[in-house]
Amino acid sequence: MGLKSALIAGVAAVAIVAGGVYFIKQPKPMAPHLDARLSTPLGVTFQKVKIGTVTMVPGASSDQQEQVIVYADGKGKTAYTYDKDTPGKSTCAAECATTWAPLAASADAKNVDEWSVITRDDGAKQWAFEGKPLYTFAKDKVIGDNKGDNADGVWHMATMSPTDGMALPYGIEVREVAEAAGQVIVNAHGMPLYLYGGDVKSGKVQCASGPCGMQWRPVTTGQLSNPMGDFTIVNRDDGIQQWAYKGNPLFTFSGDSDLGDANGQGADKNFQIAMVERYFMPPGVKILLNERKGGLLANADGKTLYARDRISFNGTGGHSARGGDRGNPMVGMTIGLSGCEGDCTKTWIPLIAAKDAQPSGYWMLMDRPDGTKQWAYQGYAVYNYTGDRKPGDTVGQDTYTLAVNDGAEKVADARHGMGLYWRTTSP
Amino acid sequence: MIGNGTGRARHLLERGLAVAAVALLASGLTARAAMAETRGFVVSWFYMAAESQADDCPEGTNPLSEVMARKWLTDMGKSPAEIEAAYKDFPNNMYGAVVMRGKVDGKPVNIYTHPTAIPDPNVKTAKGHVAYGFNLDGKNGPDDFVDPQTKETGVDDKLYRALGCFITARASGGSRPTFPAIQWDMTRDQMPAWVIEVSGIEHNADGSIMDGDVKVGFYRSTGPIMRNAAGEPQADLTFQADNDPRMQNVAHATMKNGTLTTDPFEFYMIQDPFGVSEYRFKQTRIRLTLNPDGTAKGILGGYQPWLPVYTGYALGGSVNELNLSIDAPGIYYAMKKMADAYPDSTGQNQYISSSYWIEAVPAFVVHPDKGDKTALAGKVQRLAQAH
Repeated sequence: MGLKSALIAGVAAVAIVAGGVYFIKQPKPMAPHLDARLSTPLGVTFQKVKIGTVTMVPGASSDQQEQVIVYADGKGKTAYTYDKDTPGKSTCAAECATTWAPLAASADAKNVDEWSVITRDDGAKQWAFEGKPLYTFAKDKVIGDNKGDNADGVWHMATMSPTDGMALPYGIEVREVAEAAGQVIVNAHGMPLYLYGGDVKSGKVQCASGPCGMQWRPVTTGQLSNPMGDFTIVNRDDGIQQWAYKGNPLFTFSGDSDLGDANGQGADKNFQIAMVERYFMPPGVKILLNERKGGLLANADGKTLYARDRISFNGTGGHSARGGDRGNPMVGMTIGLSGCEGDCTKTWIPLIAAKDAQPSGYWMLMDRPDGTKQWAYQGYAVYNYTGDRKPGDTVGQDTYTLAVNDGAEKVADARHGMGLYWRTTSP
Repeated sequence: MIGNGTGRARHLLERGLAVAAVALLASGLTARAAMAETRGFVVSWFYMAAESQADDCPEGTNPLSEVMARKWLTDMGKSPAEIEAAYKDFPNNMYGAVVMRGKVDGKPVNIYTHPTAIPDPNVKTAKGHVAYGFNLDGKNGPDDFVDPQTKETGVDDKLYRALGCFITARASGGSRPTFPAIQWDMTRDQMPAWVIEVSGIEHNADGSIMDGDVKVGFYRSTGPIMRNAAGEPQADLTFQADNDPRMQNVAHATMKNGTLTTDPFEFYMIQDPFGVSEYRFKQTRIRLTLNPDGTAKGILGGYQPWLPVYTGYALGGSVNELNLSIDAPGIYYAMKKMADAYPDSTGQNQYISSSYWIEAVPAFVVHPDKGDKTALAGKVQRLAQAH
């Protein structure tokens, strides 16, 4: 090899390494799982609702209460089922239907998975889940209200139950994994499981880039475990008994350590997160990993999405913590678009929805004064920040506008308590 | 040919000399670079500085909340029976009772978002002349302080004047004032840690730090502190500096006798609204002593907006007032009156001179976006040098 060739090769090697470093440092897009069923059709959302008694947690600044995910209408009002209905047929009409409003489906709505569109006696379309028509309750006023639950013993919240009819081996569960935006099969520690596309009988696992290292760990069975439902057991030649789901061997990813992590997504194309249900995402919106904040919502260009939230008393901090403050959907709906009006929208750019967009999952729509619609996530209108220059930037995080009314000298607009601040939006 | 040979020899000689000169220069630079040390720290404590004196508050300190609350309720027009009922199981029955003690157009309003909805309670303010900090305005006025550490006169610290007669803002002899310490302690576990990097440190032959120029970087990291078994921030951990452009605080400093003092610079850091949501200091100066055990301690002084300081006290509302013996509207009025810089269009000063203690333990600070340069924790680097 001549000097020139050596130089070229050297430069090329440096370029490749530099390119590799550059590539590694980029935020990693985590594409939603394509095979899992969509949790909600267009027009149906879901919300977290607190149930049960408050548990005092020593040392915690606030009381803890169990939350469940319930289906809701496009404005986030809790949906209910009625015991007296028969599959695919509503028996609540006339006066009943004024108290319990049928959850309306659009004229062109179609059946999808467990979701079906029924036609009421008056010709209106109504959503039904697993054959049960859905309703909202007139006395529920804000997101999270569930005043109708167990009314007369026949009305019940329509709770998301992704494991209905699903046999789960001991130590394997299904739960919401925030960074995967869906309901995912997890192990006993809540860490997501991944499906391997190949055969592990020989005990060898092949990553797309070559032999896998130690980052993918087989999910082993107990010695006396039996196959159940879609879960089967692979008896590997190396003596390991490994769980498989729908024929795909299951693994954990060593890069997942916190609840909600799904860092194995996109790490290797031979592995895919074991998602049971995926949540709706507006076109182009994705989840990017941020080294400081974990998963963050971003627009199609990878620019971070922000929400404007009320500054509240939070004795344990957390505004800037990993995962951050996810806010309260009711507060977000109260703030609505008033958190950023006029010139504010030149700096904070609203995420505008298509004219025919419909709410779904955690995403709702807010009507803007100019007639357009803006996407809102978990009750909060979302924006991009012009101060962010590149994908992954979070320069707008923790930008505060304090508001204190000072008699005649109005220091700032105190409509929202002591002020508002911008926060990144975590899934 | 001879001519050519001579020319070639001269050319080779010139090239050799040039190479030697470059090598010499490079070795000199390398040697100098090798001598210079960079020390990293993570901030373990950051709180309002106070060196309270016995005669600070000649009329006594502001009363405890048990006393203040009775006046608040009386001013609200509560009957003696209502007041006694509120005092049962104090302060648990009181939290809701004192919130709406302001009035606007005759209607009750939240006193924390409307602090001037009651007349100025004229809380007692500090009258002493001892406070840590810097002479920020270059003047030596009758209302200024003397720094007990440096003996500098003309020190500006109106924040201490405003708050110094609340017992939970007082401290002396190395203790930390209660409420500012709580504000930091409760938020630091869940906020990205603050890190400091001092570079360009050179040493005398005896190993002591040489006087001269250094550079100070003050950044936010990407993760929070970790605590050790004693509950204090763990030393010698690695922190990644956040590349958020808002928090790249870099200043030139002069080192003398192991203590650096920066030139004035603008300082911006985010904490948390439970403490102070955003620190925006102007004319900032930092005085930081690098201790032999690898820790660092010093003072940050400058002018900062007083409204975020107020909201830090008021955001907790009656919980803060009743448990920490503060008077939120009283603090608002006091800081508004004491504010001493950067007036708005009405003439009202928006900034108040302030001083804060910085306590820091050694840490590794890395900047991945700048080629993974690592600032060795002082202790570890000295160990490395020793071997």
